[in-house]
Amino acid sequence: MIDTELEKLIQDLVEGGIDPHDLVKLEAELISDPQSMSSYLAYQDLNNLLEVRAEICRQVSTPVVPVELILKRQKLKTFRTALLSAAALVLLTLIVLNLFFVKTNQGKGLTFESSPGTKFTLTHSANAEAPTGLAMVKGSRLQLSQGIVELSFARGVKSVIIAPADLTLNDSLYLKEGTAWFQVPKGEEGFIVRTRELDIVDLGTEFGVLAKADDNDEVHVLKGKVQVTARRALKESTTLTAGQASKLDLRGRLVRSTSEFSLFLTELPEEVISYRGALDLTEGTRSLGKGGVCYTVSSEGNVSSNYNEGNGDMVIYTEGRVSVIFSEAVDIQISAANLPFDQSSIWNSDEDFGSFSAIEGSLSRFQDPNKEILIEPLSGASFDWKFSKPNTSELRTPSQQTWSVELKGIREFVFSKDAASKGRAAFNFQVTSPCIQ
Amino acid sequence: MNLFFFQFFVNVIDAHLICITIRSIFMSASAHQTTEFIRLLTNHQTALRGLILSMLPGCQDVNDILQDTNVVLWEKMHSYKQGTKFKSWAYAVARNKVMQYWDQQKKLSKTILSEEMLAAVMEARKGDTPEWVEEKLNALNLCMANLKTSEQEIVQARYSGQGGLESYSRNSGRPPASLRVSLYRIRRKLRTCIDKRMLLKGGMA
Repeated sequence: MIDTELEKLIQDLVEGGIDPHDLVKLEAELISDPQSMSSYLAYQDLNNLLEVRAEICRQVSTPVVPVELILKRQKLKTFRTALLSAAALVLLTLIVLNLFFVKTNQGKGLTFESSPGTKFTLTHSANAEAPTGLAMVKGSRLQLSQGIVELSFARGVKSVIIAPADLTLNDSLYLKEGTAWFQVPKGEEGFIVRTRELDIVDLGTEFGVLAKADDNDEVHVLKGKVQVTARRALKESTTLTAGQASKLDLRGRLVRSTSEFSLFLTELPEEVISYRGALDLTEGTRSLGKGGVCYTVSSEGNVSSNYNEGNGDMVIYTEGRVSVIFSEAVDIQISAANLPFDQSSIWNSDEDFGSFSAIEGSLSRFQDPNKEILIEPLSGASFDWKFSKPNTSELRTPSQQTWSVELKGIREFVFSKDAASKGRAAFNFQVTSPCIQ
Repeated sequence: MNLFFFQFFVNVIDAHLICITIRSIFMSASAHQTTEFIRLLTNHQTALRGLILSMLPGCQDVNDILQDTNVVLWEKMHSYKQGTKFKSWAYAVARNKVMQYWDQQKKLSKTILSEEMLAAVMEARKGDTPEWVEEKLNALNLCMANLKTSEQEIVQARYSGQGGLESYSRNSGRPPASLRVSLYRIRRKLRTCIDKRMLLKGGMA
């Protein structure tokens, strides 16, 4: 058989258009002539390599890490090396995914795993084929209400994100909210993270992002370099190096500070995050410790929290109300705040102070050795309370008071001071999570 | 690369996405053995795919059969003795998977190669080495760069999986028959180029 006829038959076979008689003829030729068999195998090898190469190119051109950015920064030779190594990396990833994941997950996008106790919602774009398992593709959105996740991008980028968080995988990663650490492997520079306020392009290896629902977003460079660009106002752009951090000020300008590594986690914890300490009653959503129970605080009226910074103190001057919702039940201890003695006002002195209302839980312990307050239980963990009139000549401060109220299994509470109540009141909130059974 | 691969396995295991059987195999094997096995499995992927494709020409399910082969190899990792011929073992597993698929296709009266032909392909594939296949892939990358843009577009249309030549025909206005002829010529050009490059490297082509 002449070469052209042989090749035509092979092509017809591969493209699915071979006549049954031609197939018999072709097989006879290939079995009897080693040279023809060699041509057939070489043809199939080429097909195989073209298919493998096409798969690699599809992965390399995924928008998670745009290869164009690598191209811009590297000479052609270096680029070829980067492309090949990236391709090899992608191929390896694909192999593992093919081994363990279902077919819909072909290594595009990312996979993730979560720490114990993590609560999340994963939704996929209606326009994309939904992957199965813990995976995100373009258009997927992951909302973390509690806990920590570790993302593994197909291109080798690793990220650990602490709740509360809300992220969407588009052409880049959009981090609407969350505390995120990113590690970008060598050769994969150009990885982009967007927040509501900032565009962050990795030029090095390691950085962290704080995307906040109620404050300005921050970027912290831990190793290497990062280019950060403001998305509003002056759209300033700057390059940060290791040890530097930046956030927008009120005028929309990028302000530099020192990066704080301690804000981020670089690996998943093996156990549920436990916390015992002060409850921050500043308005907003945050977590107890890194990745522990999340909670949202909202307040009305004249309320200020953290009177003494970070120790859980709260002051209500006149009428006021604080609402707190936890993602998991917690134990709470309320006692008088630790205010300094030089306050000249009379504190915690009103006879009809207000109420503590909880949806779930119970009032487990009440200590009041000096008869300073009066509790009137309503139901469950809810109660009204009054302060006993202090000896005004002594002007007692809360720090001298000895009462405490302990509550168990609280998921949600409202702490309020009545309109008729006069004077100032100050409290300290300590919380334990998970609950002690 | 192995380090990355190993790390990925640890991540996968932590994610609880794989079955307990695989976990127990992994946990009981030494890290070194597992790493070496992964290296071998990785190195042979393109060659295994090539074997499957040459036994099932034009088959759309090659990746699935490769995946099934990988799962069997992984599950039987302990039956593989280090130092013995991994390729022969892996090829035998792939052949079994191909035959399962071949039986199904035969029942459906699909156009398939004869059993005699499959045996001949297996025999002819004995000389493959994974290194040689990878060298060919590198050569192909260089040869692709030498194609004209229009030729690269045709290759991309055929292999990118986005509509194929028919879609490209509609968009470009070129008749499908003309594109098939062009593709035939491009493949021949690529084969010649790869052969030359392999000869330059002292390969087997």
